Amino acid sequence: MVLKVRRFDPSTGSVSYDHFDVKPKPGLTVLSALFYVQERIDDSLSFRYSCRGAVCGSCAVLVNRVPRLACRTQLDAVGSEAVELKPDPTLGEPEPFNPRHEILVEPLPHFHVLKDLVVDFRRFFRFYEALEPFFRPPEGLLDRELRLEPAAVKELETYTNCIQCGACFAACPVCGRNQGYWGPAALAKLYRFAQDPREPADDARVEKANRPDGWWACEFFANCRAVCPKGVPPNLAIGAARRRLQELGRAPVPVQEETSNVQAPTSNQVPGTGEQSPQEAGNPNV
Amino acid sequence: MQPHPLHSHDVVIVGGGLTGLRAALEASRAGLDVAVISKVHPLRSHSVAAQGGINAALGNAPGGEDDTWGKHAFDTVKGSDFLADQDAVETLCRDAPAAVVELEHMGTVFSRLPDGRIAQRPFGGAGFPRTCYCADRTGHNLLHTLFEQGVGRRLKVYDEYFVTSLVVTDKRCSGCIALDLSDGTLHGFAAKAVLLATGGYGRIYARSTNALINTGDGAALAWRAGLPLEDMEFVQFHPTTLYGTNILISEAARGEGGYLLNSRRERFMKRYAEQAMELAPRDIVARAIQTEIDVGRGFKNEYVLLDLTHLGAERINERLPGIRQIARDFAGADLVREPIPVQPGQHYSMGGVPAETDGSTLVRGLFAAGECACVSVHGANRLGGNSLLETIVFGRRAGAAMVESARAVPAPAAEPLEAALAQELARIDRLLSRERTERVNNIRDDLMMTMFEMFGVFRDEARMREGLGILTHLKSRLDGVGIGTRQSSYNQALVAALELEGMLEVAETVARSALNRLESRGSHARTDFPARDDANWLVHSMAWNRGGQVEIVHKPVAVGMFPVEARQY
Repeated sequence: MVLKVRRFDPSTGSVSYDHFDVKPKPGLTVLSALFYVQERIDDSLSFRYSCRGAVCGSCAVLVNRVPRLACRTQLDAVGSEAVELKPDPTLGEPEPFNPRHEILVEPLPHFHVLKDLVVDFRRFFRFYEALEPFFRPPEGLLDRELRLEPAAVKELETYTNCIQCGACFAACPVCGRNQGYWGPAALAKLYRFAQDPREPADDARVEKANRPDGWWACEFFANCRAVCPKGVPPNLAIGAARRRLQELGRAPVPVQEETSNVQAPTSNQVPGTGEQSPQEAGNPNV
Repeated sequence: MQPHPLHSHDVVIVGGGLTGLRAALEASRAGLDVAVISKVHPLRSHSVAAQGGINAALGNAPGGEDDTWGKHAFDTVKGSDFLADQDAVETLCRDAPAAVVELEHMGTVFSRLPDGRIAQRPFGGAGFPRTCYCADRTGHNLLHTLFEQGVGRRLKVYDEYFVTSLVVTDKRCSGCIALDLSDGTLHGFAAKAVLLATGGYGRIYARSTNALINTGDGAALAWRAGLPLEDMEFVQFHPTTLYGTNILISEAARGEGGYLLNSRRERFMKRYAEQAMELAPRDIVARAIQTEIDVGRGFKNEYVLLDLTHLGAERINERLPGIRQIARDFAGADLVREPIPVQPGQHYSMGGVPAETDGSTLVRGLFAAGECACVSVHGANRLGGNSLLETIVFGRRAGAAMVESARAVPAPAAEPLEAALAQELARIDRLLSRERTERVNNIRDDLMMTMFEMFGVFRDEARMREGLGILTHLKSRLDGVGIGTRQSSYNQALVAALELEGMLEVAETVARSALNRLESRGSHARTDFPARDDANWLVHSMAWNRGGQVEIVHKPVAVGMFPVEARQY
């Protein structure tokens, strides 16, 4: 098997695809293959890692054109695990590869690339911060816990399971063309707070993203749900939030659940990966 | 020549996991200028991987109404094989209910009883169902909650900065030096108080449940700054790690009723802990499993089975969805339908930087809390559910103590920081320009195998002496370590080399402390000294750095509330 890895060197701005021979064996993951390369072949290869158990969200990369956690992606099963994604025209022409003997590993699209597979999460976390993701307790807290029904816990868990790995952001065609869109992870997080019965019963949370770049930018491609390693469905949260705003008479436009209003790429992106040009990608201030 | 930025904060916290974030919140609420420095983004910290729960005597669960902090304290002390300092345990257990309620008030979505109160489950070595939980993703939920609170306070975080040294002069800490991984620049951080909250040293072992980042960096920083390391021989082996990857399979699996089976399909725990069975403390269950494997009643001489099939899909999906997914992802097995293969693996570092219950250490201005510290609340064996508790209780207390400490001292002088910066620059430059005759991973792999084989679940003098010889040789090979790339951006080979230096230092303190202790207690099981020896060894081991040599000195254990007695389950 050949690991075909997209490289980016910020000191020169050069982009290349390097080929590394790896022997797949049962249990060998994309992450362990990347370590094999870094430790035995080329120690200039950079990629993020931490838990290696699919809970920390560090190692999301594009494997065979699909955002996945490198640590839970088995090398010998990549080809057989079909993930159907709606096409993302902002990605441009894909890098060719032969899935029968090659595994294509690239950085997450829609993020600036900093070095090889390491991308800049600052835009992603700016949206996270903008939603004010901290619990607002009711007044008059006692020294006991607030009550919460088990059924409510179950609904909240659907969204608290998010590990902020960025896979959904990378898979979302809207994130590719709209630099201001908050993205699926941030909106799912916001919905988790909007749904929390322990918070004061007002509509401040759903109103927070009642704006063109918030709930209303989503076009229900549902790629977010398809790639989420934790089974979180941001598309359902977004749909529910829109319905609630409509019930409140606060929806700015009629709710359209299904559109396929896909536009051509607009930003200066490297063909096939969707991030900015190397010159810009190498500059963290862009 | 790259610029070398200097920063100044009242309080600098090294580590962005639960302990670090809890301490940071405390200091930030008091109005201090706080910075968190971490080699990963805080949400990638190892705290996120904690599964089973956090202990507090809330008395919520049916059958747990009579639980008290005192009973929690007794279970903790007995679980520690009486090596824990009982005054510190009292603090831990008294603070526990308020700590859990506080987390809930920050928004944590704990699993609930039908009446809406926080649910509690049975855990190993506990007399009552005392462990509060968020399904089997408790650490994940707590870490995200605290990070969210940090966002609310606009906490300053330097993520992807690797701290290379502490600035210590005249037994006072005034800051640290850190490498910005994104561009390779060295930064100086001046601070009135510094907290080490860097987690454990699990990755010096092969077969560890720990994140790959748990390389004992905080212990190594303290060691190089002249601090001793306490009780380093006490390394917890978790009974149930997934065969193949050693990813943790939570104790909650047994708390919810799971069985351990050997190759004869018998629940062998009846031979080792007749009453508690699978819910005996971890050291006992780990030894039982290892014994079954060693005498030939395991599978492939490697593992036993953890059977949850009788619990049913509904209960598993509600209480243990995370480990069901882990088993599916990493072992290709559905634990609703079939037992899964498990073996003991390194899990937790009971030892660490000696610290008081307010986090203070022997160096003024330097604090330590969480897994990198030794308070000591876990003694020779930690109970499940007490580590998350420790992070919150002692993170908060260390944060408060740092506020007092920082207010009492003027801004540190610039000279020690600049001198330390120059020293670290030279060190990294030497490393980068050295010709490579050794690869980091070769030495690290040998280290991990040596620790696992010679200082593992069972120990004896001959194997430990052999292990020490190997460690000495590995240290000599360090001089040949070179970096293949001089790239400044995300030079992970450089970080791995810096980590390895500390791992070898920490490993030697584990080895020397283990060889020195001539008894079996808690996780330290010596086949040549199989009994506990309270007359001679009811003492903490303090490993001191004497010019590069490890010297072990004893420190008395704080006994008080609970008399030392035989430990049976």
